[in-house]
Amino acid sequence: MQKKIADILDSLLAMGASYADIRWHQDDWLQSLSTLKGILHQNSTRKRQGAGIRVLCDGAWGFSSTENMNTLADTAKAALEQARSAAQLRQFKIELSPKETLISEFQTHTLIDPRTVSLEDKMKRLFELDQLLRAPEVDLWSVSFEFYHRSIYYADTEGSKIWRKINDVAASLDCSGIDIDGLRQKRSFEIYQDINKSVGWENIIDQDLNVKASQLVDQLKEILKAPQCEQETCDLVILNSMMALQVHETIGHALELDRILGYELSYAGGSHVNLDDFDHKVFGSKKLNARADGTTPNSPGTTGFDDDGVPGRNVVLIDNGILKNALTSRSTINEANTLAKRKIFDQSGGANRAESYRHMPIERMNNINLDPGNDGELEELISKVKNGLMVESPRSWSIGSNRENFHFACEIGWKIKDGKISHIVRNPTYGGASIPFWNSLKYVGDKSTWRLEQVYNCGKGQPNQIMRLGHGVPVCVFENVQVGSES
Amino acid sequence: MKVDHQLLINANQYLKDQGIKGQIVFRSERSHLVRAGRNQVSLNTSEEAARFFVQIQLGKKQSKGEFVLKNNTTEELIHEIKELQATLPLLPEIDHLGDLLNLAQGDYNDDHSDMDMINMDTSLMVDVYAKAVNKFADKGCEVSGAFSLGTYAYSIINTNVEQPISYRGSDYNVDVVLQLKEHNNKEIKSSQVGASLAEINADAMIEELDRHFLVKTTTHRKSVPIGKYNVIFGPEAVAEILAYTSWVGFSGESYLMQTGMFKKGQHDIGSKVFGDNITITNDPTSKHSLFKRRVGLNGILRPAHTIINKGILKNLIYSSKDICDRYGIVVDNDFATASFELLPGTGPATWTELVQQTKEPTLYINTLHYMNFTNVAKGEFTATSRFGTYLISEGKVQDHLYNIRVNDSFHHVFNNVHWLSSKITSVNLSSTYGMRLASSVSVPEWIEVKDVPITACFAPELSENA
Repeated sequence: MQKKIADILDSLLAMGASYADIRWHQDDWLQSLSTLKGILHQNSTRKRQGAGIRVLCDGAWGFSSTENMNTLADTAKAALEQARSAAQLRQFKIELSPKETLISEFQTHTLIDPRTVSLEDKMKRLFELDQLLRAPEVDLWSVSFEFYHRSIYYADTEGSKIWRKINDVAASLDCSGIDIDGLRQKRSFEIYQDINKSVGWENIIDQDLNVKASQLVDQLKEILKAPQCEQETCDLVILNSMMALQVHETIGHALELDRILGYELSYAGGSHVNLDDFDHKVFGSKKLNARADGTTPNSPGTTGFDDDGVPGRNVVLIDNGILKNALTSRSTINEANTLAKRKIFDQSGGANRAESYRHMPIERMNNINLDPGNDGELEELISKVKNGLMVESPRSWSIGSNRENFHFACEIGWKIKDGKISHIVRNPTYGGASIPFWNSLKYVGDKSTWRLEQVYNCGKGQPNQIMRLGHGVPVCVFENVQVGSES
Repeated sequence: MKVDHQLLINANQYLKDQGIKGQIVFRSERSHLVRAGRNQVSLNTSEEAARFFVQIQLGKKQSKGEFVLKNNTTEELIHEIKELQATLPLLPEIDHLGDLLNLAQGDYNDDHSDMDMINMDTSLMVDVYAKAVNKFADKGCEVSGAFSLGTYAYSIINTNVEQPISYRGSDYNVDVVLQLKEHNNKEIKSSQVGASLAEINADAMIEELDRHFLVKTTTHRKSVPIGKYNVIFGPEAVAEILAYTSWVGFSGESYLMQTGMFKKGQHDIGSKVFGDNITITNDPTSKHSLFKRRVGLNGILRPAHTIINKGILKNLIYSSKDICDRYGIVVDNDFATASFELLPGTGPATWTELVQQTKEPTLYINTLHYMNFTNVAKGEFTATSRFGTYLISEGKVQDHLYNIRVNDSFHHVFNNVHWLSSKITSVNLSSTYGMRLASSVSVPEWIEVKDVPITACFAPELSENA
């Protein structure tokens, strides 16, 4: 197949393409298992294969995919025709930024490959965790595992050849019950990763999951009888899974270069950031240091190379509150620099990613991380808050089309009074305008509070692509935030 | 693209010979998508896919798989079925597991596809954006959007029957968005959805964009204080509200598990849940239904369902076999191919009428962006306005507004509809790539809702000081 791919790439150049690449998913395997109320709910295996071909011709992109490898040559011709058709309405000729030609490989660091674990053992662990979520107050509960493996071969007309074997492991615990007002409340947990460990079945047999299951049930019991979160302006302590959402929606998406240029306008929206802002704009307080790090170990956002064949890079996005860079690809930085009439971006940030062989890669988050700060461990952060709220676990999120504002609802909140947790509150929500909010960043937790959260449901693009990525985030404290209850 | 029905029959026979109950669904698609941005085509893609979805049952054990086969042969499919078979002894029993669904049999194989869409020249799609660029680029606008079209098919067989049932259809949906670069980056949008190439009307889209362009360039832009307002929602906003309500309200499974907005004892079948002027159906025979599929993706017949009749909850949709088995309920429809319709009223049928009859200050919201549930149990949601937010009063569009945030509940909305337009329109909800399945809802062109809570306004000066 590699010979066939090389021949097709050669033929595309001969037919007039200026560049082409092929991503062949030799093996695209997904297993999903779940319980619902103590009974097996889902047991399915997905096996796919296919290839996506991207062709640059007359300065425009064409893309075509197939799941029938017998028709690969026809698919290549279709992609070339798409590019020629697209070139009929072209204002700016796409010129790829340079990259190193590489013959290389990447493999997720895995101790126990989930594909080698018997279904019996998987079922045993699934139901062991399910049992831990049972309680009289819990009327709905579930445990889910998802194991994903891809073997991808990438080759392009510049001579790069890259083999990747990528494993992702997801697991979630959910429990819910009816509160004192007769309304459903929920607690949930999704596993995170440790940059010093590995990604595999070992994540599932980790006994911390047992502890977490018990904690969820205990917290749910408290939520069911807790008072509503009061509407007020106060300090807000945001724990890791909510911090991941906060970073994702108001930093990550806002700094995708295609959004900034206007290529996502018709669907996902634009960005409040414009090209003049780089190196100048005060995005947040001096405590804010953010990066797009395609090298963070063990994250679903770390795949060795992006789908331009560019190695993962660690790019500083925001330095002491000042906007420095964006999520970039080979396709867009030349256009951005030309429009800005200055060199903002010197090379691709390695953030051009596709959900699968069926999709054209676009600028996507890899790992949008915040650096840990020097304001102490969680207890110390709480002790600094006179009147505040601590929140965890996203329940709902809605963001303005230019990422200029947001409204989030959380599963659980803890009222803080005089530096101590007072009680749990129900239905906490908070919202604000993105830039003022990041400028209200008061404290950033130290390394002990930093956690690598996994995200499996980031949607963007037309055709829509659901991306896997990570957010390494510390616990943070913001001042003067509008919080409330439900709407 | 087209599956050999004999392959499905052969694999089904294998299951029968093995004494196994099972169901096989074959789905295929061919899609094109052209995306525009900054007055040019930024992406031109095509996709073809063909997959098998297999579910097998032995006693109270069940296993499922999804497969792409290299050559779509009986031998390959049976090989995958055998691998699923091998997992059955390792699985726990599912006590509630019921028999397979009774598939429709008889003359229900429909083909509504426009074959011109399969190997079409995508220049036709590019031309829509070229027209918009020609019209608006020299007015300081940047054109963007997405145009998706394609054909799709599904065939279903199970061991209760001898023959597969199948459907083949096609659809298109197109959005054209203008960003008014010389007018503070304001945005406007026009959309269309349909089932065949002949229905595409680029001129009508240009006309609609022109109307919004005029409003946005001849009125002042203002912010509004937060508070409660009467709001006229445009078709995309109404469709969004209806679609989200269907997910948390009309799903029988959500009701059974009490994970939705209707509460047992309070919102039971027969109870009054919405205002008198609200009737909502799921009716594949309606003249307004765009994709008239008689058989769902689950292979069962789709009867006409009245969900809400004059505010009274009449039916819910039971579509998930696993949940229905748990509660001893019969699967009676298919949510994936639903054709929801909010029946029209006697309100204005044209934009001119709408504006002229609006005397008191009233907000107009064209589109609701990024809707999400803030509290499902109470049917509460939030979203922001987009692509046109206006203040209308004294029979005139007085101002256009910065985008605003709505925080409301579906209970409140559907109990406070002042009027519904007499004109009905279809709005796209399709999954258009990654296994195409056309879907739309039919809604009145506009509805007015009283006392909608507006909780934020995104005027730049308010954002910077918030």
